[in-house]
Amino acid sequence: MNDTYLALPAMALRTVIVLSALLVGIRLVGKRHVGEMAVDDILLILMMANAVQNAMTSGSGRLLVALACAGSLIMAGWLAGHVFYRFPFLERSVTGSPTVLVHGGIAIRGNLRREHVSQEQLMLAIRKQGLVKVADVELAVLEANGSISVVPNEAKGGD
Amino acid sequence: MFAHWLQLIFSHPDLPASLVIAAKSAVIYLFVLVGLRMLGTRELGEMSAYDFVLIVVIANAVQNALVGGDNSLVGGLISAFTLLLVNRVLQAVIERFPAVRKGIVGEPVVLVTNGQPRWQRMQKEGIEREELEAALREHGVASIDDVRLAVLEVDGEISVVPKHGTVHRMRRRPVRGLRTQ
Repeated sequence: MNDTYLALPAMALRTVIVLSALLVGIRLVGKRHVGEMAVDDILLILMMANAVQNAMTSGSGRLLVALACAGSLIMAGWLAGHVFYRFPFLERSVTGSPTVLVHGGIAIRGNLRREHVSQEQLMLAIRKQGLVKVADVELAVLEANGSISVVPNEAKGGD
Repeated sequence: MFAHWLQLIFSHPDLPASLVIAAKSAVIYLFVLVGLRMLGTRELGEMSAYDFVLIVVIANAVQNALVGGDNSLVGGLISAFTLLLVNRVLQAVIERFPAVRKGIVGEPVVLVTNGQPRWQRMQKEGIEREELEAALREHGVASIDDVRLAVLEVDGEISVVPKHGTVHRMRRRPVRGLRTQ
């Protein structure tokens, strides 16, 4: 009886702890890789979500527990949105900042290595932009969301 | 009472149980990953709705085995972090060894060069003429003759480089299925 009142805030707090730990963990492990193996990413995320499920709910199937957990997740998301809006440097530290991979037709090897972008992944992004060579690229940037944006070289034209 | 409350929150398994959770998580993850790969890299790279359902169901199927009835906070986190770590190690291995990369990720396949279609390769990859032409149209190219290069990428999309002019690139979309971004 007493536990009911104790359990709900405990679940809510556990949920928030789990969410924070996962976000920090994903950032530490450096998971911002290029959209290559989409299946594996989805599998990883789903399995992680399932792995922490009982850590949030204590394996309880009660409606109130579900509502407390889901509610605190939604609140945490809402709160994070506000905090990130107010303090942009915090968002950068969580999501990472854009990294220049190619500039003026020349690949920046150090940045490629540091961000674990392989030659194959870079060429894939370039081909998707309808270009063939690194020399055709004015600017290629690894964005915070893991996608590579490619700006063609003006001089490239229709050769 | 407060101590009891803290106990409710920061529950954790003992050391042997923690190790078991970590080991089980790693084994299950690798098993599922290899299984999905054996179904076929390219097909799954394309991610139809069917594939998506399959993955969700698999993730749910292995859930209880991951933490093995452990309902503690720390137990769940151990499992999740094991998954992350195995994934990261795998990524590093793929990066280091091109041969492993070829096996797991696959290789891009050239489908058209300078207006010359390679029908045999397309047949081998299960790309039909209609699919290729749809991909060309999405890039604003009307005919195979106007293609300088068309490549089936490892993520299942077809990238198109036209012979002349700029690319009228549309929304990035895979050949089949979901993966929109």
